[in-house]
Amino acid sequence: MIAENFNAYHHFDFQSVFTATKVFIDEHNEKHPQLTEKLNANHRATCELIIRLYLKQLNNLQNNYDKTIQKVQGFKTFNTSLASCKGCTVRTILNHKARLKMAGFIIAEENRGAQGIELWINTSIIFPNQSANKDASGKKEKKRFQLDGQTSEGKNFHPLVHVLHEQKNNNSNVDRLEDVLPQKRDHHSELPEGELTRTLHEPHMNTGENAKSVPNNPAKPDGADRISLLFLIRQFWEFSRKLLYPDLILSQPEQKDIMNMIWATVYMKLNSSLSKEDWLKYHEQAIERVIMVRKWLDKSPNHWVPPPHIYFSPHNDKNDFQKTLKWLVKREILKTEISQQLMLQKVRNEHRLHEEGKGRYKHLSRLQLFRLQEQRLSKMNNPELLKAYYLYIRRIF
Amino acid sequence: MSENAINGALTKCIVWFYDGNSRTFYSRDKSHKSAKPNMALGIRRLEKMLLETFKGKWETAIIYVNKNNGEEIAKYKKGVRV
Repeated sequence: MIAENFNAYHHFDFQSVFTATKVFIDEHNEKHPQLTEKLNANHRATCELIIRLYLKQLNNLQNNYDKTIQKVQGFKTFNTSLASCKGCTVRTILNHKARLKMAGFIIAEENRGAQGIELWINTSIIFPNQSANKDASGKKEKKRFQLDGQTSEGKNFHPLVHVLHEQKNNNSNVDRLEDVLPQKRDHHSELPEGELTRTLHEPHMNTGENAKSVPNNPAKPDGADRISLLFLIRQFWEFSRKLLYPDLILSQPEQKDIMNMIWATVYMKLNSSLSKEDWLKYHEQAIERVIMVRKWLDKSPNHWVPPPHIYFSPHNDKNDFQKTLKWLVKREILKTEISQQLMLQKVRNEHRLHEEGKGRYKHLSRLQLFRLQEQRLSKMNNPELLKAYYLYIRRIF
Repeated sequence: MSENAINGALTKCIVWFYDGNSRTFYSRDKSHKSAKPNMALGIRRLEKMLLETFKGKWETAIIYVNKNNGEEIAKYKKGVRV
């Protein structure tokens, strides 16, 4: 069964991939004698750094990830992280990437802005001997799967791992058997010694996290994307400006400042873990409150609102916009109370007409009418209303 | 006003008074010593100066970005923003 699932749960062997990398670079250099096309020792070191971190990333992926040659994911990282890992500038990393792309080492690159970059490495390097791997002994495979089981559980893997001795030129140690520590050798005793091309550092030692790696939970799972909600603030400001301050002339920096205030006070810095739908609902309520303020202003010439930088200021406790939230709550309560009163009034009318033998329900019995009305009122989900109805029924019978 | 404060100001206001004089005022953009400069605050303070301190004494006032050939931000004529 292990052998069957081998492709899906592929564990990447550092040694074979490093060998393939070396072979690839050597072949490329043989074909391209020009200095501007050659991959020098520094490029080689970058290649090895990329390969090592990429394999680490792939091996740490969850088991259900597709790691087959067709669907294997790229190397997710940041240019700055690579630069700090290698001890060079970002410009060097960019130059190296360009050279590696020319050489065909990097097949494709996707820039994701703040999410970093994704590099797709030549599959002939990453899967150098896929068929040979299938023939590996069962014991070796079992060991690999045990290792896989120990790896992290989520998709939010660290794009890079920090290695303290990364500053050394690991390129110079490639293919040098004496660099591998003797006590570590028995760990790889099943491998032929001639194939050892790994550098000084051991992959299993790279456990430290880089400071610039992706956070464990980059986005709140239940919260809406805060940036995508910023348009609500602009919309709110434009609406309230039209309604409350139609004659006010404001410059760009002043408007920006006011929108910042609105973001902080009216929208609570969009900090709450509400979903996007909830925020949209809140936005509608805020707009409703602006309309209420406008109506209140129209009621009397003595009514006024302070200028926007005071009205929406987070330090204004006296007459700020947030006070209108009370108005809204009061109005909503009043609305429901009125609708309940209207409902009860309707019920009374129906009873009066029923007693007179008129109306829609004149053919129903008193019990049927009671059931009908009870059902209708229970749909409103208000126990107080039902109580009032029962009291009314008790009074008339 | 010190040279530093003049150079550090984000905006300036040129005022043409009724008596024929003209004068440049520079904004104070910080709410406290170590605060981040706020251009809007500076503009509001200049506006307050124009409309309250020098009320009725000037004909035209223009607020610019405090740079050489800085763009115009606000313009006031006879006490009204235009």
